[in-house]
Amino acid sequence: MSALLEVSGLTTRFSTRAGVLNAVEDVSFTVDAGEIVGLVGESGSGKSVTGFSILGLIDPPGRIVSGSVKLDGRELVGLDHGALRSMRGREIAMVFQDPSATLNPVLTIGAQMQLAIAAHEKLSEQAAVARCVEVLNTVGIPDAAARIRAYPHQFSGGMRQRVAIAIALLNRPKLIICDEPTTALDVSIQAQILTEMKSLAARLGTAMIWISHDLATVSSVASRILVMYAGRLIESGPIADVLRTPRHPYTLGLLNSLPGIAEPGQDLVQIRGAMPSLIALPPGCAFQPRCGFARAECATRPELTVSGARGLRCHFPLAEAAE
Amino acid sequence: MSAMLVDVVSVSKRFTPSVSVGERIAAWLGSPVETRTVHAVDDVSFHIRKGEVLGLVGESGCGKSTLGRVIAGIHPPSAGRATIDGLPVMGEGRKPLKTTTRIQMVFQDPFASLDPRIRIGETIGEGPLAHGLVGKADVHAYVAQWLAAVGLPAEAADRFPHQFSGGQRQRVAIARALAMQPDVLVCDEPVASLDVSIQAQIINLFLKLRRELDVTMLFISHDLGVVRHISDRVAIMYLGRIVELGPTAEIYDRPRHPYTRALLDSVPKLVTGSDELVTFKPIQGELPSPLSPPPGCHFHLRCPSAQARCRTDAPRLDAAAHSVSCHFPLAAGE
Amino acid sequence: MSAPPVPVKALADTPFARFRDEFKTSPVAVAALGVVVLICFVALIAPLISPQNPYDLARLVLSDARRPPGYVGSGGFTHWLGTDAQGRDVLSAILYGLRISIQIGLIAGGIAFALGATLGAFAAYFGGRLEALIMRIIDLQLSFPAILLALVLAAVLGQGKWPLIAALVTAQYAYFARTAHGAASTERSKDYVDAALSTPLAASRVVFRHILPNCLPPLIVVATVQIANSIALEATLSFLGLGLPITEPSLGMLIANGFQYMLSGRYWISIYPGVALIVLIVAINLVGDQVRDQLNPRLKR
Repeated sequence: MSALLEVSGLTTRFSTRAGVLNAVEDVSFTVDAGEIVGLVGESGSGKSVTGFSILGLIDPPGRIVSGSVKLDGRELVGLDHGALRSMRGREIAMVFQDPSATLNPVLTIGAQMQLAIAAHEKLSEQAAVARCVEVLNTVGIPDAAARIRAYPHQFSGGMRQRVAIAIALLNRPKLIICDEPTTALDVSIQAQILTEMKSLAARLGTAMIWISHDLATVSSVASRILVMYAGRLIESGPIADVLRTPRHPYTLGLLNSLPGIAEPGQDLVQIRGAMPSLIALPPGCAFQPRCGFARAECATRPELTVSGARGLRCHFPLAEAAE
Repeated sequence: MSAMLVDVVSVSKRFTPSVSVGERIAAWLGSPVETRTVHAVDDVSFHIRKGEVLGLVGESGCGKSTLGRVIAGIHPPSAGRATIDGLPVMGEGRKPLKTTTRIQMVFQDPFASLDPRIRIGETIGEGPLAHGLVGKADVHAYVAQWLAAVGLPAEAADRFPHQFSGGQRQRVAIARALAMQPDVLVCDEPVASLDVSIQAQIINLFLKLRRELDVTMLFISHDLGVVRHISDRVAIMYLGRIVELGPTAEIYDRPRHPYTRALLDSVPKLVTGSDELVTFKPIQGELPSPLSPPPGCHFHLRCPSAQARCRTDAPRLDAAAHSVSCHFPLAAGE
Repeated sequence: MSAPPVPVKALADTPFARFRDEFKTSPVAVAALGVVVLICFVALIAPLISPQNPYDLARLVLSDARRPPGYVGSGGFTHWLGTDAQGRDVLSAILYGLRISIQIGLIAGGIAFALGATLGAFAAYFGGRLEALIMRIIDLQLSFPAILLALVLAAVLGQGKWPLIAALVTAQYAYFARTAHGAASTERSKDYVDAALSTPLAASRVVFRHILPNCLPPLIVVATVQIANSIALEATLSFLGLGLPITEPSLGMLIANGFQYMLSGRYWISIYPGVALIVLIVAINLVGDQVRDQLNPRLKR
């Protein structure tokens, strides 16, 4: 079975006053239909830019320099604006961290949803309203038929994020890219949204790329995980395997940084230093200056090696038994 | 048990939007004026012992930041008082001012809590200089000493905040607070805006400072994992009130308030078993608006074990070591 | 959206350098700034380059009065822009007039800036009744036309440089106060001010060292506009005879003096000072526009 989304060799750069910023460098992965893939990294890791690149939402001074993004075998890189626009929303939709930034404050949510439908499909008003109500019900908004006449500010933060998810679902896309969709929400609301999204993916068969900095959140929704560092994909695989036996020192470092791994009151095992500037990346492995296992060979760049379901970009992977 | 250092007695903080001249005229002419008072903190009492770290946990809008600012002497309380060693943290008067330097604060966003136009050496040194903790001649060495304490080089003093990363800025903000040689540090979400790997570095810094300087801390956070790691005791806050307070292990292992239980159940946990089924027990509904909190127990609208009494009768925090503010607390092991 | 959220270390040049580079991208603004600098420079060295000291009444020869441009007078030099009713060389008078206009504009603008910014920032810092009182007075004053206020004050205080400056300051400080109040109210709610309160630092230090420096961008925008305005206002008052004494004509008075000869064809006495005034004010405003575009965060791309 061929994958729904196939990203290979994706490289996105931004030219800035200070030089060329390598936001995404040679990233390759696939997403199967109905699968939730977690894309994890810290700020500056390139995880959001990867999401934007898939949607063709990279504006100058940014540019997709090379690589390909195939949806159902159809190449998306290099499509013109019109083709990209008709693809967005209908085939791939996006949900952002801050729902109030994506909702228009002066339109009722019903009007916004109908505009989103009209962009791709000609439906009678009745049919469009029926679709809106149905989708709002799907994401768990009570009393949807009345709520479509409400304005975004009349919803709470969690409800607004549900509306944003409903808009993403409107045209029944095959893939939804969720960029930190629960980061701005409280834990109790986050738990509601996470539960909702998981059951949505299972019910509708929608694939998702779940971009987040939070390993625990990703581990509770995704079945596969991609770990990014400094614009590069450094480890991938089934989520439980990767979290149980991380093979890249950075993945291990991230896990050890979480409070809850160490005994309360004890020092956390921290990663020293900070992420390098994407304008002046160290030669070779980007993690090498912070890595406790680095050796001379790390000055040359490791390639992504795939064995079975797991991918890794490291010269000296941790042993399987490093539990 | 060591001595009580900070005592918070029946502190309330209300924010009332100021009534404009037009509204005042309207009221005078007989039109009803809607005053929308926010009860950010509602009759909260607790104490912090010398040398301990008290975690204060709650969701956004529960009033934990406001409470922190009242204790740090930034906002005067609307009612009640906060004292350190029996002395009020704020003076009386029409415009109460902070009276002590013994409580200092570290803020959430190190991009906002440092003046962008001032070199960090001055940011750290100005307070101690103004309060005579150090003379003009020695201020450089003094600043360098505190920069070293938070793991920054002495040259950092000559740079501006924008030349630092988020983690480094938070170190500067901690150095600024420590340079006042406080007895108590109020930390308002000090790691919330940092990346995971940087967050671990800052948590370790707090642990180190605690060991070396014996600072007492009020550690405010929404992150249950971080609070569990660093705190001796934990207070759980919901809609302006403390609903449960007790030793950390007690709270996490044997929560007695339904809200604490639900909050703990909502936290996503790292799943490492391949066939482990992830289920949450999300709390029903949403946080009610602090403009119109429900009568009785604030949590009764979302509480699975609410009874008629909870709708009218506000429970009070009992005086036990593990105290809970609930008419029907959970039994151990529930 | 957070792309690309990377802290770019190499970009750590000063804000001023970034401002200068961006300013250079507008040729109109650069040209206007050139004109302003040139005028200021010429005004500064007026005593060295002007053919005549127009304030030295002993040097004025009545037979040279009202001569057209190009006339060679009794002083032995060419009056390139003609002479006025007292036999003054118009070019010299313009140079000296510019000197006075710019001087008064800068002094009045500077005092209004300091006074207004301090009042506005303290009002925002202290809040409550004090803020309400100060801001109501300022709102009240802003509802009057500045020219009316300046006229009344100039009439009450009498002629002379300092009464004129006092009138201009009174007419203009309110603009600075309102701008400073708005900016300071925003800064007041930021964490770094709370950090200063938790230290605690003295109110004067918080306002002058922390809040005001962070309010500078909008105040600089207002300052460029208000300096141009105070030059125009001074010219207006002088034109109406309420400004400087007739022995030290500023641009406004030069225009007024020549006004009565306009219909008799002796245009140069009014027109040339008028042109000088317009060029100066337009140039300052063009510079001000660019500064505003750059410093206004809402217009930032």
